[in-house]
Amino acid sequence: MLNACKFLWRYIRGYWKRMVVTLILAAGSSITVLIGPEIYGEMVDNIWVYKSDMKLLIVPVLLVLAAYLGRALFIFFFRYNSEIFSQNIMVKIREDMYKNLGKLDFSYYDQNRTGDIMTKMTADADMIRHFCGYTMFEFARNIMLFIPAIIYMMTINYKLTLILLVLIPFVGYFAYKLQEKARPCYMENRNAFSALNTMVEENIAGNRVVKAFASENYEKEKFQLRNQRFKKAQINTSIVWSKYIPPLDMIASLFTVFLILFGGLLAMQGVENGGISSGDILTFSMLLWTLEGPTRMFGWLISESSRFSASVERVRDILDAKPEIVSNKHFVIKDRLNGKIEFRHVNFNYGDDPILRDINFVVEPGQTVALVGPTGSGKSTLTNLICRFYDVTEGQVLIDDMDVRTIELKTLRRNISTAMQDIFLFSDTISENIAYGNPDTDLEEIKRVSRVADAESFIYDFPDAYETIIGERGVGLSGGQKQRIALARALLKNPAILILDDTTSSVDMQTEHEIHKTLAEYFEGRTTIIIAHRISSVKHADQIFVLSDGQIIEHGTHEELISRPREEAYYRSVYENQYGDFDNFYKGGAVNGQK
Amino acid sequence: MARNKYDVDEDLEVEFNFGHLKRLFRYLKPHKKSVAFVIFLMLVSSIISVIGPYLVKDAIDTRIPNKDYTGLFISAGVYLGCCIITVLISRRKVLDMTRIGQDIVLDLRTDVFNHLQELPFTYFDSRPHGKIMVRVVNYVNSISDLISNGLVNLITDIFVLLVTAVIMFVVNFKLALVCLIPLPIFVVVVFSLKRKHRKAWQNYSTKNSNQNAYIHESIAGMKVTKAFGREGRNLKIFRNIQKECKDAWMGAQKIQLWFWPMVEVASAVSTVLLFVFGILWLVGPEISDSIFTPGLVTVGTIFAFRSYVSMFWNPIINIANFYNTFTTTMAYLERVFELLDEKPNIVDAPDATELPPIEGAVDFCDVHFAYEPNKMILDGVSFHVNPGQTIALVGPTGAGKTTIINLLSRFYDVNEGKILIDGHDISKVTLHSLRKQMGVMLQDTFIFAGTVMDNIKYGKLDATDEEAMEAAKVVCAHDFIVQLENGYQTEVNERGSRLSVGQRQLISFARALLADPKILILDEATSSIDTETEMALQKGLDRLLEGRTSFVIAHRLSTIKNADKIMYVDQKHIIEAGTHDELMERQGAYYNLYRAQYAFLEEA
Repeated sequence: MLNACKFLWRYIRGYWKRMVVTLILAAGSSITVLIGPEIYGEMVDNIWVYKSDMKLLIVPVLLVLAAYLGRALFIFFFRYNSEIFSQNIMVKIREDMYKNLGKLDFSYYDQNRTGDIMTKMTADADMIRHFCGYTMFEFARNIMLFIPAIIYMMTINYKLTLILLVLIPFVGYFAYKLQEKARPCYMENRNAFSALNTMVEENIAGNRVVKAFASENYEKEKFQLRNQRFKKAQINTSIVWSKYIPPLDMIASLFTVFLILFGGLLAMQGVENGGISSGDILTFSMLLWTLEGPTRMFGWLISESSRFSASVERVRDILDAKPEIVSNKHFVIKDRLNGKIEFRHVNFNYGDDPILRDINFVVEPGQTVALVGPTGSGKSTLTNLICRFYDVTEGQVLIDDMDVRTIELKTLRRNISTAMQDIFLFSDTISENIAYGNPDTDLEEIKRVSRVADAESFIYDFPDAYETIIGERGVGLSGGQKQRIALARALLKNPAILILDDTTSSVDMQTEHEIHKTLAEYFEGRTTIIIAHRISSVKHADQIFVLSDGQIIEHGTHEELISRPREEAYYRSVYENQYGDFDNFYKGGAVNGQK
Repeated sequence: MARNKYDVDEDLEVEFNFGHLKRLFRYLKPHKKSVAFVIFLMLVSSIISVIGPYLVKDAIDTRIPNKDYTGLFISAGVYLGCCIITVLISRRKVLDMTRIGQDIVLDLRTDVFNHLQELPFTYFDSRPHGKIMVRVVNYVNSISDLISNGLVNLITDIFVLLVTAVIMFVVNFKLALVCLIPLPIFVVVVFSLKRKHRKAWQNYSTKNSNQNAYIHESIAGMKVTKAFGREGRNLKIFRNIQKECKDAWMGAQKIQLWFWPMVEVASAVSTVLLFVFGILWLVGPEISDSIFTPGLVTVGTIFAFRSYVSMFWNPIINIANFYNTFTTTMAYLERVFELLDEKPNIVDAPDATELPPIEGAVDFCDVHFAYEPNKMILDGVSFHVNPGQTIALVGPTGAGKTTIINLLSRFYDVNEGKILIDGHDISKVTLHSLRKQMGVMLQDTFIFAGTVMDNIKYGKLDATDEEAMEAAKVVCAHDFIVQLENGYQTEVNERGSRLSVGQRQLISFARALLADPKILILDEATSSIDTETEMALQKGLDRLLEGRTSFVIAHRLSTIKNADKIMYVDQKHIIEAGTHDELMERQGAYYNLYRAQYAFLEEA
């Protein structure tokens, strides 16, 4: 709880003025409430005076009305300000979370689930807002009500006040116990909620697979488990609640019992013998809610605070997560990189899994290199190291002879453009998607790159052409269409280094061939890395690297690689497999031609 | 199809629909008895709480002046007893109502989720997923508060209100009348704000939904965002969305926040009226006018009335709060009901029968289909496939190959014509029995968070580990899986992000095979798999395709060549069909395609 408050303080500091104003308004709403009972008490004590002159009633009545009207205004502006205050804080926290999410490494996203991150950003951040806008001020307001009321009661009759205060330590005890027990419940509560959210998120994202396998019932069962868990967490919380709240309620009621009993006894003593008047008892009875209310509220506020501190912990999971890949202190900022790439003894482990082992190569600016090799041999990982989406475990990756870790991240990523294998398109218009990296590009430029990527032909098939909104992740588009939009998006960035990771695998060969032809002109002078399985895509490369099991096993140009001895030549065997068919065809075709 | 994105508001009717309320009550129905019992307890409790002020009045009016010590102790004792009962009742209420509220949340959420499973692709494709999520999870939650706190309190509050009013009238009719003067004024003011209030909350729920959509997509697409260095721009958009959300919230609060102060003022006016008239009637000048008859009230009456007045107005504060919660919740619930009302357009026909175990004969009879009106994708497609045949679909991107197989699995319904499997019209059999017998490997592989084993078994939930491994071996996935940290028990991340795309394809391949379907559909199932693996895979595949009807969409002609029948789809029709050799002989579209590929290889 203390940690949670410390955390919150960092945010409150920026808005302390509004907080003070809010507190003053809250105090105003509390103080004005005390005026009524005071005047009413006097009215009752002077009741027989009014008999002689009813006009004397006018002043106290107006005062009371003014006090309550004032209180109403105080309440409104207090609540209004507390809403603004809490919104400001939530907006700031969310923004910080969003900012940090932008900084966190790929590995963070590999390890954390979208639904969980999302819950933290929405529901948990909202819980903090609730605390700032409501719980916190209710605490303050109750204290501001409680303390002046006690002082005031003291001035009326200290004996009766002290008798009533005997009950306070018990309030403290139960509140402490409640806080202790409620916290784990709320933590489970938040986690169960997140699990539910995560499951639903995945189900929605995977709805096609669910339908394809007719596994709706399985999904329903899976969901029911989370649904039940969340329900159980909620009920368990209420069970803890039911243990500690009733005693607090009881104590709140005891105030009145004490008043009747001890107040009555004191009144019977008579004022002259150190007792109190019946007017005083009335005043006390009217003030009693200022003790009763806070006592009743206290339990509730405590459990709200536990809820809050559970959420703070979850929000901090995001806020305190540190990216490992950050710009070095003395980084290099450059407008344009030349595009020379060098790997020096690069090793990379994913967790404990070695993915790349002792990779060495140099790519000169403007060269086109191709990476081929079996599925999972580390080709995509290798390109991820160039963009510094991950840092090498050992060795160095250099661009323009500078270690990538010494180049400012922005400089680096602005100069490298990747069409990732895993295509993610946003549920936005096609033109917004293509212009994702350069949102201010004009439509002409967007069209130009779309033509290079051979996307324009199908884009015009859509009813709204470039303004067509595509579904999340590009659902509804064919694999080839998505790849071409992703390619156009990568091209628009106009980078020094272009990485095409399996970008045309779902495009038919004819289209692919045309794309590669235009690309060759378009990317004259830029370093290009192509990952592909089709020999036709990589044949032209200046250098071809064959990766297997995280190592470069073959290296050379197409001609060099196909002339290697057949035994251990991966590239050659792939080539022959892909070409073998056509050789046969060529012969067959020739025969057909002769017919 | 009009798609929705994060910054497009969804429409919702403005007028309040009582149908929603009725629906809500349907969920409450099974708990009728428990709710009735809790309400009964609450009524008891509120009757008891009315006794309190009477005891105080009694003590001040009679016990204290008479120095009646025993009486005082009795009063205190009775009060204490009342309190204990009230506390016990409120404890019971919290427990019962939480349970009921959570049961209802559970039921409603189950309904929403189950309904979601019935909805077609188009539902998911046409809106950001964040907007669907927030309905299933967050919005449904909001109802629990309404049920567990709001409803019972509302009924008891109304009861307290009435009882207090009755008591006031019984104790002193005129004084009671005077005290209630502010009530009608208050009611009129509240009603005049009703519509605005509701609209403001609807507006907020819309903005909140937008915000959720944007957050969700931002997280899901973060890798792309980083690759394109767009974090700054997105932050600006996010700021803007947050601001809209905040403004909508404040807009709603601005209306809502007036309720409490208004009750305060009304209650204060009541009290003032009480004192003025009370004192007038107590000690007022002797006026012949019958309204001002002194001696009508006692000091004790004024004390008691003061309590009654606050007992009368407190429930009104609660009712006003309930009204606020109700308006907010309804703004959310409408979105939930809207989802529930979404008609799944592909459902079992009313007289649908189970599709018996099939052989795998497929017939397309003059099938017409369009995703959007006036944009025909298939215009009269007919073909027949014998059980066990392998069919390759080729043709340009977007020609309708995927559409054909989507229709076969009945992901969409044909506009005209019929699709038969073993002579059964697929629109007349249950979806479950149809899809259970088909294995579809989609273009988009989807890997669930969980172990590799779980993912393979997704195709057949009751499969043994051995079966799953066998399937993995056939599709050449075994080798790489055993090399992972924990082999088959390796946890793959969400969407399998730690695996390469090719590896994911192999896993979903194994998944499709494990399902042991009679009809197997492979939609670009091997596009990201390297040639060597693919060739190894081919051998296993040949074995597996035996005895199954299969449809293969691929760009690699080597995959296609061995098919029993190749169908070339273009211009809304199947323009060529036959074996590789036959089509080569014909020298038509397929021949050109094949030749062209060769030419590229040569030229490349």
